[in-house]
Amino acid sequence: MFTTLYIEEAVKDHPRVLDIRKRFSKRQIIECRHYGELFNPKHQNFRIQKQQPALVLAYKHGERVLPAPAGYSIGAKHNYYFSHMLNCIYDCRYCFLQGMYRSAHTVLFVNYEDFLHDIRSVARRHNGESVHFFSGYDGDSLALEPLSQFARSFVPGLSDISNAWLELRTKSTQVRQLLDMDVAQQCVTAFSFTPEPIAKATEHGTPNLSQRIEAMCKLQRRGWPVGLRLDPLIDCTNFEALYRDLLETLFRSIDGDNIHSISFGPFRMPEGFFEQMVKLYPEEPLFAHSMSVNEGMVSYGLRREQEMRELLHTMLLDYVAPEILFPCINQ
Amino acid sequence: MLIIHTALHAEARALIEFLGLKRQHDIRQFACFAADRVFLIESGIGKTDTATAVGWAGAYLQTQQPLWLNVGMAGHVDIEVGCLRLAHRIEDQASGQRFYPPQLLHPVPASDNLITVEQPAHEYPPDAMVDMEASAFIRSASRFSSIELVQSVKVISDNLQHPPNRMKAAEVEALMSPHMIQIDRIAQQLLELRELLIQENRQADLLLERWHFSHYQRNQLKRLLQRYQALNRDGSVLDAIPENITNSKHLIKWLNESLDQTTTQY
Repeated sequence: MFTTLYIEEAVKDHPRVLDIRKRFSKRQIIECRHYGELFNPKHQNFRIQKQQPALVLAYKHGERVLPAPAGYSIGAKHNYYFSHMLNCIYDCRYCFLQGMYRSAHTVLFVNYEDFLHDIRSVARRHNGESVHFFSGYDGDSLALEPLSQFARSFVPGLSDISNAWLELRTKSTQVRQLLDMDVAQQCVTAFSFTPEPIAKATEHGTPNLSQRIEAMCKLQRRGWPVGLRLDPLIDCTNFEALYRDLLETLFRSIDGDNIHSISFGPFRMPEGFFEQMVKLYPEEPLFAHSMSVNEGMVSYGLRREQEMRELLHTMLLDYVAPEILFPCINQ
Repeated sequence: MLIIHTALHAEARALIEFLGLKRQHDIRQFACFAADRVFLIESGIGKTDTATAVGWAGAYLQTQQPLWLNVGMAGHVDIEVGCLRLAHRIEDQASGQRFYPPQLLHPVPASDNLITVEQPAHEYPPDAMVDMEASAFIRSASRFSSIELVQSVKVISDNLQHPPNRMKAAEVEALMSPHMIQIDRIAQQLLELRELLIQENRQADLLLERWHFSHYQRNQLKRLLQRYQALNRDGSVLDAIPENITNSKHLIKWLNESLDQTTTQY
């Protein structure tokens, strides 16, 4: 998967690093002082690097747990996110990461224990109230699991924080580690979907629809809480038919009465990120669609967004209870 | 466009012959050689001359995102003389600044760290090649191109067993010559990646010749044509433009209206 491994000098003796570096030959390993030396400079091209991204093992300093953007809750009043990983092994054309980062290398912060420490502090601050922690904002939570052992290390560490909920968001099928563990009732594995024709056109390198459904069903049968994420909704001529097909396919296999949460929201993007994405992929049909700019966000326009959300909401009510539906709304 | 930089003529000779490059006698500032889409510049030894030559070549050639290759000799404590290495980390010894040219090639060629020094070194660092140009080369060339397209390729000229001496030009050429095919392969792979960055639009060029466009309208037109092509993969916009379009303003209005009515079908 990766042919080059960069390692920050400060973590070169970290047990997780020693374990990961065993999978690389010595000549593939390059030491750096700080991941920012190679991740942050200008004059890099995300699209070219995405042809052969490297893995960077680093230490996360500073603030590790941050408030989640408003409007993206799945039921809790207090929402935070953390990024133990920057960038994703998949290459989804609608993803904001390609507009946000200059480099396509995947950075893995190996100091999971520090993330857990900070989560514990935040949870303590909201004592008695549920706090949701989202792990999949800046990268797929599970796709790198065989290498990162993130869920295996992280999920048990949360078990004694009674008010903390963890969301693992993924398009992957890497659920073996979770299946081998005791079920954590406050850990929601949320699978992202778009209709199959859209996924084929825009989600490069991801497992196909049936593989993802199978992974989700395995977890559900084992008793793990699972979520559905229909985010972003992608507009197209045949929008309603495609999403109707997708829901039919999903609920043919998934138990609709046993889903933690479903969130959905139309494609939208900060204007600066969108411009960068267009520069990288000017030939991409997704970006050629008519878009509106409203308060610095590029979207399909408020009216169309509303239509898309309402359509999905109505369709979903054929399968699930309204209490678990969470439309994503920019605030 | 491929731009090759060497410090010395002796380092360039095998490349000149292999690539069929011709001396550019009208250029007086540096010794330069060229053929179709390849330009080679010899800077002389050291960082200052290298930065000057690279800056001059970038400005002179005015090419969008050229591929830059620094090709030359380097010392290493124990790598065998005559071996080729790509530099995967380039450090400027004087400033401590480091550069990491992304490793994007298949198969991955042998690579190593490289330290650029001010003066010829008497001792070898334990884990890096040593040269006198690469940090200045990458710093200057990455002003003109994305860093993936700026790479340094070194042939080992000396090590602990074979200390540096005054090599004759023919000896340098003999060390370089066996690597021409591999250097060419590296260049070809990187040139293929470069294609991802170059967005030429022949249709835009034809329309820009047909009517007058302001600077702002040119940019509008280019993006509108990209969108048109993205949504109408099989159709040429030139065939679709109605006959009553007579100027740039009408064309842009028509393109905007057409695109507003077109949605993606998956």
